[in-house]
Amino acid sequence: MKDPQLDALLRSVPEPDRPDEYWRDFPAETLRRRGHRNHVAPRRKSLVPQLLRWSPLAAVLVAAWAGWLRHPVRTPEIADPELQEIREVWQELSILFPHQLRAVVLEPEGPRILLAETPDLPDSAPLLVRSCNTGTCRVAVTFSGQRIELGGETLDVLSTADGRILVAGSEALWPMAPGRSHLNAQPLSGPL
Amino acid sequence: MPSSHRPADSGDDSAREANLLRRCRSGEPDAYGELIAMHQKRLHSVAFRLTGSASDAADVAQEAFLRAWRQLDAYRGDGPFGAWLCRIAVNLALHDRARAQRREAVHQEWMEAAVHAPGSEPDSDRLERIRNALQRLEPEARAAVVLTVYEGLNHAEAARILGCAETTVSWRVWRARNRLRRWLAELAPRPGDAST
Repeated sequence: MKDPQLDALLRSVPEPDRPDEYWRDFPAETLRRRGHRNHVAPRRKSLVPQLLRWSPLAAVLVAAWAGWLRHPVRTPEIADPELQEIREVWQELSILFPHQLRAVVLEPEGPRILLAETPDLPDSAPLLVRSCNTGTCRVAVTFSGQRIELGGETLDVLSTADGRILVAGSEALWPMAPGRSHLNAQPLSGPL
Repeated sequence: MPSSHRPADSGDDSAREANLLRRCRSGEPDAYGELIAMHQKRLHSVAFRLTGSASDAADVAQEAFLRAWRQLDAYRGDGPFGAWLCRIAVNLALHDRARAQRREAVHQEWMEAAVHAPGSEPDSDRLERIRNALQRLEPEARAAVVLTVYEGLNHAEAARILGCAETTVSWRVWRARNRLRRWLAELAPRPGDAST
């Protein structure tokens, strides 16, 4: 069978016939569902359930949070080109693994992807976390409520609805000691 | 003949699309409704060929439009908006494990029913065999066939949507064609038949 014959055979399967009303209503129905979803799916997780889930950490986190609220510190930013590159990697992977992408750790060998078992993660603003030790920085993108391995350290990443971020590692709590900590974090701003 | 659902690439349509995108970004939901209307048939068509199911196709098309809305600022206009939408739909159709498992179950049921059905209608059986053959392909190969055979894209255009090299698309299409030829050999037109 030659290519044109095979193509004709494949195209002989008709598409489902949908009534005109379906095409007329589909845009409005999609817009309606968008509005509904925006209403029911908050983009950021609340801090409270996360604290309750990690009860051993809760007391330390609350104390750190209170200290930070008294002395808020501006998060150091990563250079724009690097940030843009990271955004693009996250963008590509979040399309490939919808609602399943827990984190992307950018290793020298390439991105390491952490996926949830099932594609049921809620929409949430992505956060960029950086860990710098002995001149080497490791970067990961994740979101609130995730526990990740970065630079050989386990980090818990949390954020509040107003965008404040807290990163808790085994030896450091950011932003409790800004400037001295090897950790920092910032929103990976831009809609994703 | 490739799909006729693709919006024409005329200057008028491009200008209208660019205008609608501007209005969407300034927060006009009606403008996005118009964009959906422009691209809905193509997305349904691609999704149907990929999933083999009318209801899954509708789900995938709707989800793709919702996802595109949420990620609208990520579309930088460096390619056709329709191709960007198509890429989202392809990824959704191919990487949703739950949907794939459901589809496999439906196809399994169909195959069992086809074996036991006494004297099923020949044309319906033929169409199901073709559709089933397409679904038997690996997801990436199926996507390459859908975009090139049904959508009429060249390998470079398909590669941009699939996020891989043009040579990879060529290889996948070549390999998929060989498999489809083997699976559908009995349906090939015989020398005396009218040309297709």
